[in-house]
Amino acid sequence: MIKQLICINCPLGCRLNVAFSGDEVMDVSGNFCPRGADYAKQEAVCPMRVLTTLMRIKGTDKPLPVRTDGAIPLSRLFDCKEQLNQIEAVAPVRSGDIMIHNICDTGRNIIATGDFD
Amino acid sequence: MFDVIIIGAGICGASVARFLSQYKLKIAVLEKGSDVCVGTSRSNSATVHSGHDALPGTQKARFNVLGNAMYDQLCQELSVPFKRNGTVIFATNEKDMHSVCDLKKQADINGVPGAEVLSREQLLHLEPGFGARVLGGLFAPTGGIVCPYTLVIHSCYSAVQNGVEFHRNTAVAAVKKDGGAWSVLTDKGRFRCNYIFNCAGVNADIFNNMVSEQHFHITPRKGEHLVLDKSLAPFAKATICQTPTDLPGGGHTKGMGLMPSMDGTLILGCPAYDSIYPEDTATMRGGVDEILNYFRTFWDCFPISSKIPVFPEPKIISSFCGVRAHPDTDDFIVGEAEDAPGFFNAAGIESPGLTAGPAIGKHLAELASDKYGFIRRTDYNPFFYKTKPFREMTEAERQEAFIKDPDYGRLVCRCEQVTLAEIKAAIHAPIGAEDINAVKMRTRAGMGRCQGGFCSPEILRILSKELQRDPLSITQCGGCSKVLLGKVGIC
Amino acid sequence: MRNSSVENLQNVDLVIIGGGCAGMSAAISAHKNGIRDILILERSSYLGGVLKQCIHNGFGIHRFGQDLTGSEYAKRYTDEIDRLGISFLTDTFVLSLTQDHDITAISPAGGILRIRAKAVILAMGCRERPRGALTIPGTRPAGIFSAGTAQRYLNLEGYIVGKKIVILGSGDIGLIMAREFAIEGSEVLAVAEIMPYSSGLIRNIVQCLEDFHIPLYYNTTVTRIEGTERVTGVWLSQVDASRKPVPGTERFVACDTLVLSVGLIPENELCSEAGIELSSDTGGAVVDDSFQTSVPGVFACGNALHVHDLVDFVSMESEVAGERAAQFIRGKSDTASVVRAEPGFGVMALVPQRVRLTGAEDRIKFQFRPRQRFENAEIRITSDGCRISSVKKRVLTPGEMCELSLERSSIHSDLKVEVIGL
Repeated sequence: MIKQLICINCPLGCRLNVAFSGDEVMDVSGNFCPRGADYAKQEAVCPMRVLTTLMRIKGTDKPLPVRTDGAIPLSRLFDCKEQLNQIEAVAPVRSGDIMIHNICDTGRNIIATGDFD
Repeated sequence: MFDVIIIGAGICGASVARFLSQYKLKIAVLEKGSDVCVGTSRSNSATVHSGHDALPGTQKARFNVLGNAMYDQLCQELSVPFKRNGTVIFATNEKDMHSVCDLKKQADINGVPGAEVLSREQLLHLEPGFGARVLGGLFAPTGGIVCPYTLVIHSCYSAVQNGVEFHRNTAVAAVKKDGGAWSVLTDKGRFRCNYIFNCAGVNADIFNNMVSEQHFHITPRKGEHLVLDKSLAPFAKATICQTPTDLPGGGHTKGMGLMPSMDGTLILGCPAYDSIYPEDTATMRGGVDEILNYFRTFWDCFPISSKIPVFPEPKIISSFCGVRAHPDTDDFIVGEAEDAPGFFNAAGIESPGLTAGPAIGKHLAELASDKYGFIRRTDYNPFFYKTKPFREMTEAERQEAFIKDPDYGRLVCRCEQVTLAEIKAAIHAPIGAEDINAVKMRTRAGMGRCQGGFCSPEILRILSKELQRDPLSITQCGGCSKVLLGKVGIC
Repeated sequence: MRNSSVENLQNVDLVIIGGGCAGMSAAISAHKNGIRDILILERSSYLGGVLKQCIHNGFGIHRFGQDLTGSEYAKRYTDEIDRLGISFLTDTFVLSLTQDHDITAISPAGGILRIRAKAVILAMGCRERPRGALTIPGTRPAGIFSAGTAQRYLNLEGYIVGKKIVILGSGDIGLIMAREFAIEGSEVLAVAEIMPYSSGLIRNIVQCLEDFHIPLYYNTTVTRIEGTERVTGVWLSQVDASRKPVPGTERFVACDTLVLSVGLIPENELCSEAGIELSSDTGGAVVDDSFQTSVPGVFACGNALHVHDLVDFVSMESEVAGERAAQFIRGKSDTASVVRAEPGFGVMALVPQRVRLTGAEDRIKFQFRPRQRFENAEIRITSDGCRISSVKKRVLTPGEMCELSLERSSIHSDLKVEVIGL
């Protein structure tokens, strides 16, 4: 299978052609530098993203900014958001507090990125 | 049962309401919009015309000159920003100079005080910086500028003080004879009254033609304006226009002009072209381009060009389009319908409508009273006093205001320097602001260079709190114009 | 207008106008350099400025070596302000500033405040260009927002401004908001970009648009807005090489919201009364390499000086300004001669515009934006026609600020900074 990606490491934005099968990347071309090949290997097989979003707080319309404490698969983003939407945080919250452990079984926690009194 | 129903709360409806409120009458003003002054009276060049370009012998000429003369006292009584900054109509060729001389003759016949033809040297003496192409022009010292929405809103407040009811969001569907009285059918129910004053702007023909055989037809006539940043205010004094010209793209106008406004902005405009839909106030690319192309070509003629040599397009902060009620009679239709006693028209009030409006209101009130014997009230109060806006206060006045009301210490609109106290006052006023545009019209919050980018979330929050309504229900301009469509985390 | 009574005149060593990251960084730096009498004046009800509404990550990589969200980055500074006990007033708006450093402000804490400062730092940030400035034809319904306002509603207030959204402008703010809208369940129908390229980071094109299958249309702009009360749709048109709409290419996109990400303008309304020289190139004050403006003792930094793309560089620049302001307060006046630095071909928003011929630092750092995208180009500094410094770059884009430094000792007369294609 061949996928086309744009490398995000620098403004050159090299267009990469990645040949892979299942989890295995066989070839990367189009990269100006080795960072492109490294990027392609992960991105083609399983793009990973940090989710930064908002969570409801009980008793107010003001939201709590949150993030995953590491990258999760892009394909799980909306599942995680949906799980987040089911619950409300309770004040007070401090930046760094864990709001949800192991969201959607990704191994990552949802942590607050702002304080709320 | 009312004595009087007034249809429309623009400059005519508001003026009629105020002048009639000096009599012992039960009066209601029905306005289909979500606020007063949301039609033609809001979207114009804010000019108080001297009367030099109205055709002699017309109602336009008559009420223009009468109205112009009323403005000093009127604006003082109603705390409305107004200034006689003078009007100049300049010419760049001999043919147009003849037009200027014709305008002077017209001004004399119309009874316009102090109008004179000035040579180039005299113009330069008046306001240095006129361009090399300018040969001379007409100077009309009684020309002025006013804040049109403040005038209408304060006229309405004054009427409320004297007992008039205002019904917003009330659209008149039909008017008909009902025994010896009138029935006014609206989407909020039926109103019965003895006298109707039809001040319905672009829709006035509809109501007249329901009750009178003497039909007229109104064509909506659109015209765009551009608004330029306040930083240019120090460089413009008089209202300056070129002689009437045929515009390259078709249409005709009084002549493109540069109008300093009482808000400190500069207004450029305006084209004039007929439209089909009375409610269509969309700006058109063609209209905006007409203004841009004109000023790109003729900027050097205007005195401001001596300080700002290049037409400052980056200083444009907004554009809007006014729709005027152009009557097929080509003249104002003011008076009682001959075949419908008790039904009075103030119709076809296109330019010089803003100037003429107060005179029309006064005239119709007197006309009706003379004929139908209205009794004067003893407690009529013509004054509407409003505290100076924070942005115009001296430091000492600001401190004093803060001590009396700590909400003067919180600035909400940074560009126009509007405080929380003034926004709350606008919401709790006699005809209170219920949406963001209404707050804007009463305080200028959101009219500045960032156009509400910074302050509108705060204004929404204040409206929600003061009116005790869910933030999601707050609208931009009434009706279905909700600002927010959802909450986080709730799909 | 001026009340000549000095009854309520407060004397403060350093007043900082703006409590965002620029203001806070400058304050902390001045404190580190020995100044204790500091007052930050902030118009919002919180410190942190626009960073507080940036819930996405990518901040702090340069400054702290960590990948933080905007709110986390701001917290580093607000915590430090607290720890150091630096004074600040919120909900406080500066009404005027004079050449003599007299500041008048309005505040819930006392009404009119009058402060005389030994030194002032301008850190007011920037505002967004509104729809009105673009004269987009059409109606004026609810549902038109600048990206920052939409971001404020969403991230600080918890409200979604639209369900079916078109975004005009593919700068980073527009891209970030596209992702946020999508994650909140709104449909982003299109991002229209008038130029043939985006000024945003490629990372954001991928992670904000491609990840969510949001189409990006280059050479496209909004030519009309429809809807009487709320937006019902917009017309998108292609544009030609001079950015004019091409007739016949209009297509209607039904939507309920138009979000505009069409430019940032440094806020410098205070500068005219104070006689501070402004640069039409940056929109901010003209400064020397110590970030001092044309008025001695008044410094400028952050977005008020020139629009930044990374807050890390705002912090670093503001720290220098804070340090210089501290030196100024301690009486270290600057009598160095100054030369001019002008932007040449391909260069805009050049900072600083003046360079002192003598100063503590050996190297001078210039920052600017390329006017267009360049591949394989050289940034060159010339003086009297001679090249005195240059660096080759594989790619330059308007979305990323460029830097070039050189030895102060190599500067003797006016400079020009330009981009040469290779």
